[in-house]
Amino acid sequence: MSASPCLLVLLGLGAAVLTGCGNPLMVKPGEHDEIGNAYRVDPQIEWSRQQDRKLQIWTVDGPLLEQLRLYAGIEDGDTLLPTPGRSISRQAWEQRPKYHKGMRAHDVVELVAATLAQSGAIDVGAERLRPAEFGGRAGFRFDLRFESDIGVRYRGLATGMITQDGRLHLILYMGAQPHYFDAYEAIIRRILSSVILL
Amino acid sequence: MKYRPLTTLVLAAVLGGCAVQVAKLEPGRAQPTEVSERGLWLASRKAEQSVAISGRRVRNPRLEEYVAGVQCRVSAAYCPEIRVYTLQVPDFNAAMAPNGFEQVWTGLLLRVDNEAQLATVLAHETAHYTLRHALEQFQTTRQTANLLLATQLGLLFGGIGVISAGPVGFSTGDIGRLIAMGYLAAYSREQEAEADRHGFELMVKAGYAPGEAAKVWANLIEEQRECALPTPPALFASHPPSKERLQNLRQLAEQSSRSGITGRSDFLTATLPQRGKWLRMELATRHLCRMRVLLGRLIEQGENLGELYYYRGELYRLRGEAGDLERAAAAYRKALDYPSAPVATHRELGRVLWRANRPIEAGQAFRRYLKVAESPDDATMIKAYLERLP
Repeated sequence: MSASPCLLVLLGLGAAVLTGCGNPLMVKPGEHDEIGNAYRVDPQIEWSRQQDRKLQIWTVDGPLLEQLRLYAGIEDGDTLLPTPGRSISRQAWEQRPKYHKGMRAHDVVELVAATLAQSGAIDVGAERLRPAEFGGRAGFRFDLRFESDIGVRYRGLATGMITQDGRLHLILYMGAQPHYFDAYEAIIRRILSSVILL
Repeated sequence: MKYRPLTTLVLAAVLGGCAVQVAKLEPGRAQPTEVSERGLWLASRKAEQSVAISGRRVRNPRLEEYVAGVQCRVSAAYCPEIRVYTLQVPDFNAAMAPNGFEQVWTGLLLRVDNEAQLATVLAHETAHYTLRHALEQFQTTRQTANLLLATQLGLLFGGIGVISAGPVGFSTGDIGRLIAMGYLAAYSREQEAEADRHGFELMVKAGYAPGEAAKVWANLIEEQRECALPTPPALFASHPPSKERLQNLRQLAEQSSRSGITGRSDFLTATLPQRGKWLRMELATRHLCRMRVLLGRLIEQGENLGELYYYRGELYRLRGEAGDLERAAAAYRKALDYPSAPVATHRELGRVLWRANRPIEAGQAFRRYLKVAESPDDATMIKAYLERLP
């Protein structure tokens, strides 16, 4: 998976994202947006969007406050973070948690938790892993809780599925508490229910 | 973290200049006395404010009190002016700023065997503090007319500033820099030797077993050697270990006429309740070789073996080399021989057996998990797995 420096900034220091990385794309309500030729969702509201080959990040208030990550077609050896820039060693890249063909729901939960932990999240807790449909197919859903290094608490929701040929589709929402997660939770749940596989 | 090129630059600057000596700090007299020292204090105060509210701070009064107590014991008269913060960071490090603000990382607490070894590190940091090595190093650098360079590189803790933490999605700058500072302080060889000697005196005077001092470094050197780490543990960046330093500490212990305690029992009482969480954090770094060496040493020591064999199973499961599924299953089974095995051990055993294409045994392990865990929050998912297993 490759990523622009802008995306690194987006994932890293979210406040800079909408100012320093050129014009983000917009996602508008009612328009089913296509995620990596794999599935579409109804955005419900207007979002700012940064796009990578297998990942889109949507936000309204800025990714440090809330962000929706939509992954499509994650394959064996992919990570959930972008390709490292110049500031990371090859060894550090190799140590990033990776998706592997044959993983099941529990493995994906673990992958997400470890990815967040390596991204600076603290006390990452993944809870209530359960079966749930993803675009009408068998998938899974789970909840997340963690804290940032400046003590901001986050909640998250995730849903995903593994395709017949072993690729992962995953949608991950994270919002700061008390305000941001609650403010968008109902919208996010509608988005998660709007998935249409292509 | 990439600190080497910048480290080299500043080291070149530092080594090119003349060493400056400053007076030792007297207890209770910790105040900046000149402009450059005020700058160091200001930066230290800012860093401390960030740490005080950080999500990384371990908020466990018992553990915080314990670590602060050990620090007090070695720093004696300086105790009232030193403030210790334990941070959840999975690497071996401790660092003290010129204003008496000290950070101790959980990766260190996992890698020392007892209180005497913890005291060794804290006494070493105390020595840097009381001998004002940060200021000394700062002034030496300034004398080389490279102050601008040093300032640009963020030289704060008497050493080398490098702010390059990679993509840290939920690390928002201040703490990222602070954590980086743990990687910064690079003292001169002479300062390290002096801190080793003085720190040794402090820990022995505080009543700790002299022979434990060298073991801290020996354990770390083993971890580094076994795993051929291109980036060494954080403390190594600031306090490079060497056979010479190890030898010196061993000699000091042999020459010492005093005996002392290891304090293992108190150390375990304070740290064991937290250890599983710290091991989970270590695992998330995916430094699996270091984790293997660490677990090997902890298992030899023998406390909470169920927990340790569980993490050994986790290590093999994540490593995924040939034969690792079998090794993981064996480790989980071994863990279940002990009462301290987490309930999740049954589930993880089921996962590796399923992956190893042993569906009947996997199903048995999942069923045991459901029974022992009593309505775990992932029960419906496990039941869904069971529908696909014989």
